[in-house]
Amino acid sequence: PKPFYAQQQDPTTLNGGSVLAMAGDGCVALAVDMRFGSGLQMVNVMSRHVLRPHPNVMVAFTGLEGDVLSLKQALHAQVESKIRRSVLNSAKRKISPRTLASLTSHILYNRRQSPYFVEPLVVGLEPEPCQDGSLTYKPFLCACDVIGAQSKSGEFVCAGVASKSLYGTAEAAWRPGLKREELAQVCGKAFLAALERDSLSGYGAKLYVISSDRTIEIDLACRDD
Amino acid sequence: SQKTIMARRYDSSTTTFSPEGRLHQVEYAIEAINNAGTCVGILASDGIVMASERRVTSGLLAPAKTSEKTYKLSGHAACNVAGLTADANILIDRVRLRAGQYQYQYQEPIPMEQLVEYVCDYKQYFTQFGGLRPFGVAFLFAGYDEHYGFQLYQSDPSGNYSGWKATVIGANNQAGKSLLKSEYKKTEGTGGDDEGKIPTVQEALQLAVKVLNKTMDGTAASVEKMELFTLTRKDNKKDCVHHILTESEAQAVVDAVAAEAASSGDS
Repeated sequence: PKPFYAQQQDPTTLNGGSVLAMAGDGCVALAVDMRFGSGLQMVNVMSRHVLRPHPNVMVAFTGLEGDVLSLKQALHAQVESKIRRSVLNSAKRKISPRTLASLTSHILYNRRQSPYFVEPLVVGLEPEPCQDGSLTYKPFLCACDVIGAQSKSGEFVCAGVASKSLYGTAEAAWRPGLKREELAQVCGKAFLAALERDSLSGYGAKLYVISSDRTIEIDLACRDD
Repeated sequence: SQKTIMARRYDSSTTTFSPEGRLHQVEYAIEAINNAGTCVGILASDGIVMASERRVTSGLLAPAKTSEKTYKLSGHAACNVAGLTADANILIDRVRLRAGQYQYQYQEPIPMEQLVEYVCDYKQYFTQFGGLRPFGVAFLFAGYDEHYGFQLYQSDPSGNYSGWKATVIGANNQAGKSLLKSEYKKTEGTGGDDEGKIPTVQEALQLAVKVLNKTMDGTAASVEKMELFTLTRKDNKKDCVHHILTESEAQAVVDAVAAEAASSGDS
């Protein structure tokens, strides 16, 4: 009988998982799925890792789970060392989304020769001073590849095993000027539509909608397979 | 003549013992700190209080954006500085980095004693190698870890450190320490309980102001001349609450101390 050799599986798709982020009018939505698997076998239902230094900015990770944890911890350590220094302003200093995206890109590129198999999504609200001195918040979306190339968009970004489908559903569903509640609907529907057809993503989704005054978390249900 | 020349030769090299078995450079560094602004540290039952004297050298100085006395080292640790601020900045940068590295490596906050020992080992290096002068800084470290709860440590240029329930560094520290000795743990009347009552953070704040009143040259310590800092926990969160009292909060403490002094009179 012929011996059975296990084949090396693709590290970017081994654990599964997908994420989608969309921009609205002064708000952003981030959808992450819940499947953690080993190839075709589902192992656990748990939310994709999301790093949140402060309410206005989030980093979602998808890819090889071990590398996700390593990158998340490394990023967390770097962010902490830069923003948690001051005692006088006990309300902590904030890191802006584009700074965080640059930092993530830098850390990823440092490992150019043996990369983290992770595709992070940096999303948030970028503060922009107005002429009259007040602050408005512009949506910021950035997807990075495994070695840190940044793709910024004013519409949507996605990553993970279902990303090819997500590009399609998001392109069809997105329109400019979406308000908070509409954005949640559009992002959630586009996300679930792609998830249902993908065997390596699913088991539910978590939707975060960030606006300048608060963040909403919504749990979405879908086919559990 | 001969004797004075001999004494100087042992003075200049930090790494050489004097005939009496002393390291003069280290002792001179400690002297430098005794001229610096006073810092009081008090371990309370629910946190730690660190109060320091703010020395305003000139009215032309720009308003401070950061403290020159109190520094946050990590989510669970802070320190007060007495001595050369420039020297302190070097050490603080190193310990912040070390705390971050530990947290990254072990995914838990660095235990307080390890943090203090790391700074002190580095300070000790400069008393034994290389012909460099010691750091002219003394620290009060305040922090919380799950092993020993709230802890207060003091370190000096020699690299020596010790844990304290209450202590003072900087100018007039002896006067401050003697006041703490009598006031820190007041037995509550009855005979049996020798332990006494450890103050709460609010009580410790008032005690710290009393100590500063005593050490600050007899002039009544006003709110502009002092900085009151508390380290407490909220809801068992991983990060402690680091709080420098606002002007109104500090004024309330100073007023309470003045009221108590007025009502009780001199004892």
